[in-house]
Amino acid sequence: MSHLARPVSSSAPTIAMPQPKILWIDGVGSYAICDQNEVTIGQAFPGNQVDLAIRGDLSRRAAVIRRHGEDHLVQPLQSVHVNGTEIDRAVVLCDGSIISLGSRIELRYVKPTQLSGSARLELIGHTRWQPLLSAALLMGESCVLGPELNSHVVCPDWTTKVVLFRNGKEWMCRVSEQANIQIDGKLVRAPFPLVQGQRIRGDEISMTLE
Amino acid sequence: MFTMLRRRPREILAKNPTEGLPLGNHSNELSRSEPIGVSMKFQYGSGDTPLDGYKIKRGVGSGGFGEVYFAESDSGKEVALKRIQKNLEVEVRGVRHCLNLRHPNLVAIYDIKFDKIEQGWIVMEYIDGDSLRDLMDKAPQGMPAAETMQWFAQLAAGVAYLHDQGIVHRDLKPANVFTDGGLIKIGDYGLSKYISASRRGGQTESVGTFHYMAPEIGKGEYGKEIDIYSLGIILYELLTGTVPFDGESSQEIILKHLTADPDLSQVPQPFAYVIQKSMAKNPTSRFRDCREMLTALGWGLDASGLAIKVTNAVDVNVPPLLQPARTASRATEIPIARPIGSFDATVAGSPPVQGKSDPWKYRNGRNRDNITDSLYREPVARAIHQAVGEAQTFFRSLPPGGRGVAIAVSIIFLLMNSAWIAPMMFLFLGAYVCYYVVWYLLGGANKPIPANATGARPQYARYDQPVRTSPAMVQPTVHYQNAPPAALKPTPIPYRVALRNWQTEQRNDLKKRGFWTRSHEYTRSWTVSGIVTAVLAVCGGMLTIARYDGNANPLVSGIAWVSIMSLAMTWTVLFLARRWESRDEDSIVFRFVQLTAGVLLGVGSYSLSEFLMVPWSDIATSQNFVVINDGNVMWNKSWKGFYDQNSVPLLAGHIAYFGSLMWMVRWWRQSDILRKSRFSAWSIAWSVAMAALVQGFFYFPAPWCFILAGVTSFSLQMSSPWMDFKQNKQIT
Repeated sequence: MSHLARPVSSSAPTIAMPQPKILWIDGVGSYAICDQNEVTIGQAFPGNQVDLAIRGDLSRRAAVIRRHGEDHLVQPLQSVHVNGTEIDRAVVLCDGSIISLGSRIELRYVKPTQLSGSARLELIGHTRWQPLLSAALLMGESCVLGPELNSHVVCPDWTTKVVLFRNGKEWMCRVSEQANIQIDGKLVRAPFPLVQGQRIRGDEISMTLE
Repeated sequence: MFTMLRRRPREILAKNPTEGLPLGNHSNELSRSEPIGVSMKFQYGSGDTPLDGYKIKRGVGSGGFGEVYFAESDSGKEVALKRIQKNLEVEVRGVRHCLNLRHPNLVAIYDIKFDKIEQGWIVMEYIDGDSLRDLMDKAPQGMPAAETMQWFAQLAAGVAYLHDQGIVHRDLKPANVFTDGGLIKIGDYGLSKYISASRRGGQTESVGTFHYMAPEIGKGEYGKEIDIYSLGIILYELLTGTVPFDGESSQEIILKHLTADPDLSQVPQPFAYVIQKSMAKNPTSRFRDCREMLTALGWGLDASGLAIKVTNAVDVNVPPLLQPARTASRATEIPIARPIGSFDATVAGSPPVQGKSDPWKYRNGRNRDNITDSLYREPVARAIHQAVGEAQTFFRSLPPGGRGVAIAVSIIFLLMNSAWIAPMMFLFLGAYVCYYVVWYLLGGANKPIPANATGARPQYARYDQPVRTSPAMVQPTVHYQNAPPAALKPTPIPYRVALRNWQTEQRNDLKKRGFWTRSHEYTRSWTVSGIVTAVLAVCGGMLTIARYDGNANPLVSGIAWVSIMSLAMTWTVLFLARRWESRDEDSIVFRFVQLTAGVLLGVGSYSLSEFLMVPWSDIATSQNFVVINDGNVMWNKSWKGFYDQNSVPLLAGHIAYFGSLMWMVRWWRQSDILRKSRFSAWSIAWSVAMAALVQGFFYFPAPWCFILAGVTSFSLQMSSPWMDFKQNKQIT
């Protein structure tokens, strides 16, 4: 009942942007976890309802990336080029595809491994995500965080890897026992659910989903 | 969100901020990058707010002086927060001094704050990009020259700004340099020390990373020369992918800094020159500042202090130009009508800057006094200098016995072949003088030479040829962690530096000697030299006799002439050297005084040979092997009035010979009480070689002229007093 008593004013006027779920990995970077089937990309300004916002010169809603089985399709909402060719309908992306939004913004679609439908979307050049991200993760059924270069999130200083996988609506973490993962100071056994706000700490792993 | 908010205070209270520091923090001083496999642990996690007004998002890294976090202020400003862990006082003082520095190539420091438990935090600009270390790790074979310059020029621009503000970075290393969308940002300059002329070593603690640490840091000297040195190493590493000095332990690395020379065989010009000069063991031999270093690479700084490429310099592979853009400014009187072509419109790593203040004014004003190294302005001279340098390196690599043999062989070769070498030398000299005049008149000193104009640059590798290093060299350094992070032992000063310091010191002491001490030295040296000269002259004469097929008796007068003349020369030089040894060397003045003495000696020599009636035409063997015979005219004898019909030198010939010899050789150095070694065969060889050069110009009966120079040099060194630097060093 207590939450009913909370003043509503704090949330009313300043609903800025829907914050994507962000995985903050210490010593590595920050990654948006996009697990919905349709991810809208658009310009970052207050009040714009997009899933991934870019600080730059592009439309409010520039493109939609849609998950289709193990693949991703990009649907243009403004002038969108894929590998230099302007597209007028949804196009399948493959590893290394360059998506240009407007005249100045370029995104690279990286699919490090064919074993997973997950992919990474990186901004090339000066432009940045809002909030600041290293990359956005377009989540398939599973996603790998580890030291290998074909991981979805490359964590150079780690010796073990963490696998995120879907379990219904929530995400679970699978990690080797040696990693000594603790959540809120308590040792946990993998797989464990990835809960927003919990700090996950191991011998070398340290991350939080916001 | 709310779970996080509840968790926060407990997290802060649960941990004492100083306990349980992660491994990475300590090992970082030695390792070039974060050690692989060692975790980075951070005191605070995402959502924590140890500092009012800032919410931590994630840990970024941990440097030698503290953990760095990415955080957002309440209003959404992205910042980096650095928690000061060690040496709070020192670090805060250093950072406070740098708080208001502003340069595009520096990581901006916004503020210093203290939290509730009196921990210091530095609020800094957040750089979302790789460090130079990361970039280098991605290019283990080194970067192409153009990319290297793109980074390096900005790095040097940032350091130049720090130096202009009187700050020495002291810990320049790739891990401290970040890239932000093509822009270089130098970080961690909080360690920097305010330059003060009197007190150069403030903190006694050793700072810096061994791989990038200048040799004199061991002595506690923290001048801006140490940054120049580190820049040289970074430039080397950018190009080759490896550090020049690497080793299993910190001691090994330090020892290499003190003694070894970098291997520049894989580095193209002009980088090799720039690296070599900035990594000189002696701080005073390095570039005086970053501007000079950039200029040597064909870059400069614009009026706003940004790195800018001097487009006149054509390319990085073209040898550096030291007076760029002057012709352009001369060509146009009206500043507005100036052609844009002389300066690149793009500033490194940033969009074009237009309408800034006049770059030429800047170059020709403040910057201009840096342009001194004329050697590197003229391509032929530069090529020769390079070749000599290489020969020197080769010579040094020989064992001592090998060196002796090499000297002997080359002297014999020179003597036997001087018949053609000498005229070739003179031809070359003449041609070079003509060339230089033409080059100079065409404005070569002021403007760049097109790559194909001189044809004198074949040995410079083009920069677009890949810089290759052997695979063994480029092994990433895994050893670093093994080396103990021991505190620096006070390291010995490089020999050359120490010698020079000692010489200066001693020279001051020499001024204080009394009259009698000095006179005693004179008489003693003069006596010794008398004996030495006599013996040597006889020995020299014997050699001549061995080759002589006539009656040997006339030679006696030749031997007498040599003994007396070299004795006179020795005494003259001894006299002059004793007078000069307490003074700073002023080469041109000293040479001139010697020349004057040489003229007198020439007069003496002529009178002496008349008095002894030396039968020059009989006893000179020069007819057989030394005279330059160009057709029928022996042109070094063709100075009318210098010689008689039998080519016997007259008064003028004597004067010319002695005058030139005294001018050419810096005899006083051979007699200097503080000279490097008691006796140097080099000096003798050099003196003889100079005599040969003079002989090629003004004929004088050989071999007497050579014997004279050799004997003088020998007896001069034998009879001059000498202070042993090494021994002296041990006593003190």
